[in-house]
Amino acid sequence: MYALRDVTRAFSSGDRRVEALAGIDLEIAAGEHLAITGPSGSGKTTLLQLLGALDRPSGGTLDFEGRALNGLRERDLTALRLERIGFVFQQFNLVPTLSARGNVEAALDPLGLRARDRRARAAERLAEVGLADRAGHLPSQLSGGEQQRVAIARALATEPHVVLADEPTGNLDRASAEVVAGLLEALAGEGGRTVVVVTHDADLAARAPRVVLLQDGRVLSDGEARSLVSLRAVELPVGDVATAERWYAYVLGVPAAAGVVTLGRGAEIRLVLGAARGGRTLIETSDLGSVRGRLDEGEATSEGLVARDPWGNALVFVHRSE
Amino acid sequence: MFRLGYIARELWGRRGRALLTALGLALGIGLVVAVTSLSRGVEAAQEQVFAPLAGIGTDLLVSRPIELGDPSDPARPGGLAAFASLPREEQEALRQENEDAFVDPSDLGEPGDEFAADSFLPATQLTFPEALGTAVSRVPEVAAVGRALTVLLVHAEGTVPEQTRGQRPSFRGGDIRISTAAVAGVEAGRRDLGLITAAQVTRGRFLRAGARREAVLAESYAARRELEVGDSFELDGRRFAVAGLARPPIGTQAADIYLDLPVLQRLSDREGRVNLLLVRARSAAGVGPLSGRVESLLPGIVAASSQELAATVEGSLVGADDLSERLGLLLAIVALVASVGIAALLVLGNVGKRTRELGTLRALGWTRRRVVALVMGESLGLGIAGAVLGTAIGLGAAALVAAVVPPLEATAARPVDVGSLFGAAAGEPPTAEIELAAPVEPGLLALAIGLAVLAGLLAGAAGAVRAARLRPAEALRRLD
Repeated sequence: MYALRDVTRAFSSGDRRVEALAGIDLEIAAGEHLAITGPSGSGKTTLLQLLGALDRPSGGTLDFEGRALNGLRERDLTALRLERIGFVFQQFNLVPTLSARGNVEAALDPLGLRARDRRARAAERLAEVGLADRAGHLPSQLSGGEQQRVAIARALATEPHVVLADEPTGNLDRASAEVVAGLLEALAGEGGRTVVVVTHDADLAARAPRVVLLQDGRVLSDGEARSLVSLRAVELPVGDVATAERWYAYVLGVPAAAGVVTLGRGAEIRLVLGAARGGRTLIETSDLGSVRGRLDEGEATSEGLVARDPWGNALVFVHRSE
Repeated sequence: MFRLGYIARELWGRRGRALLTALGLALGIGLVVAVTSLSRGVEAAQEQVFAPLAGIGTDLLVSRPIELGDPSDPARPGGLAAFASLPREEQEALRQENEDAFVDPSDLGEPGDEFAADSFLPATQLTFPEALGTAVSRVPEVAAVGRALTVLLVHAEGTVPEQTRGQRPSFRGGDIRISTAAVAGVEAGRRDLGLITAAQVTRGRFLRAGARREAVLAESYAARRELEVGDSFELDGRRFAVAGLARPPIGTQAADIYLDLPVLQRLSDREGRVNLLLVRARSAAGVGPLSGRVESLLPGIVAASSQELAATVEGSLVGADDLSERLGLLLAIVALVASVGIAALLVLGNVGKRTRELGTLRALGWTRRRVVALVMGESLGLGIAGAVLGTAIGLGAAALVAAVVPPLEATAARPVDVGSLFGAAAGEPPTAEIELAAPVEPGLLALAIGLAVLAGLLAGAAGAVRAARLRPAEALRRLD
């Protein structure tokens, strides 16, 4: 479905040129369920906007269903978004003055359907997300979870080939997040539909069979997540001290989230953690349990390391034992 | 239809801001409506005054004014010297016509007796033979000629004074009250050409041809005398019924009492004589040359056109003309521009606040044109709301101003008053008090709606340009 070759996207900020994406190579197959994760500023949203035909790459090639998006005119990109792509946003982005049904109809309006058909289709979509009885309510009369379900119904209104979700659970409580995550998971593969989710949420990312980790506009890792203590693992190249530092800082910056990296054996981890917290070693480690010990004194076991950050979030460092 | 509903919900959902924007437009439109309707009211009033002849179906007013001259100017001595300079037959005609002006009190009765007497004095012009009208009607450019006679009625009543005779007669005692009124004789058979026409009758009816004992009175005179249609009044010892009331145009030889021409000629001993001809030209272009040809028919004849008569009008109405044309128009333009500017800023601000919403619509597949149409549609809605509110404000303001502003006044200057030569007061010059109306015609309403819609679209254009430039990726990226 998607084929990205050395895709770059740069923005000018005064005299400065900021490279949000610095050479992305990615293939996404039809029907695939993919999570894109990474720290803030890693280029997740920029990548999602390119996938959503909302923007064009500065360099490289981006093919969607066999068509190069780089060369398409604005009008063609708009048509593509209308017919093939559905969006779900972190802030829901519902029109506040339209009812739930009106918001879904807004996505259908450009198709030029008859009013009766448009209303019927909007009602169907709302029923699919369990909001048939809330169709006449304004967004302000709905909970966050319900609003996001309306947004999902709107994204599905035109029966798109791909649904792109940008932090879909970022503004939801745990229970609502679970419902929304379940809906997105169910969508994936339904009729060959592709679902791409950008998220900070490791739990949400873990639901995707494939996780792409971005860092500094590059794909840091791309592969199947490995399960450990309810978390999924992504791979961090052995010995990449600077990268590990940023990754850790990213994890700490998001309370209640946990990050998973796979590290090779090595002493670098001590230096990294120390640097991330002003030279103080914060993490006590043990192997997969509550055994506590200073990381710089302990050793990564063959299974990995478990640590807790100052807020009590579990940080699991998994050592891939190949 | 979906977008219409969207626009309606959007305007209703942000009704505070929408109302503020519409109100801004409405104030501008309201001022335009008020100023335009008042301006039209003033124009209508001016039409009555500045085109007096049009109201009586006439292009030229032919008369024979007496050149009294200027006592300080040796070349135009004026006064009795001017009278002496008239041809002998004219002097004789004047003497005959003004015998009434010289009243011997002993003719009124014994000293102390009650008396009442009417005299007819020349109004402002010398008379001339009625046959001149026939001569004028033979001029090729002339379509029709009407004849009229205007005289000044001097009514005296009271008690006869005691008169001492001798070289220097003097009077003692007695109590004489004098009032004057302008009396005009018009051709009763002509309803559309004359000093007054049937169109100017506001109550009752016009004079019937051959009716010897009826009159039409000017509204103002009837009000002064407390006379109504159907009442009767005495004139030179004869009773006349009030057939109708009229509002004669000022600037012409407006009179207080209108009688059939032969009746007045007999009453005033001026049979076969008139002092006004009302000439209708065959074409507007022919009025200029016609004036010269008519004046060549008899020495001393003056043919005045509508413009020349209008130039003699002064008063607050003239000032109102300037006010409505200059200040009013300027004010309306400034208000309209300001209201469009404010509305544009509000619309622009609204689009700025809705960056996320509009960016989302673009992400959903709305084309740029569709988003622009949405913004313009909302502005159009604001414009229509502004038109409704603005028209209401304008009507209210126009009605209020019309109610508060005192009546406008127009006065026709009297170039000459022969009556004053013989010691009789001629009274005030013809003055019209015109109530200022603010007519709101369908055309003005259409203009107001058109302006408001245009103003709304202009205001929306700024927002639409901003919306059109909105790139969905940027709009959504700002939310990160």
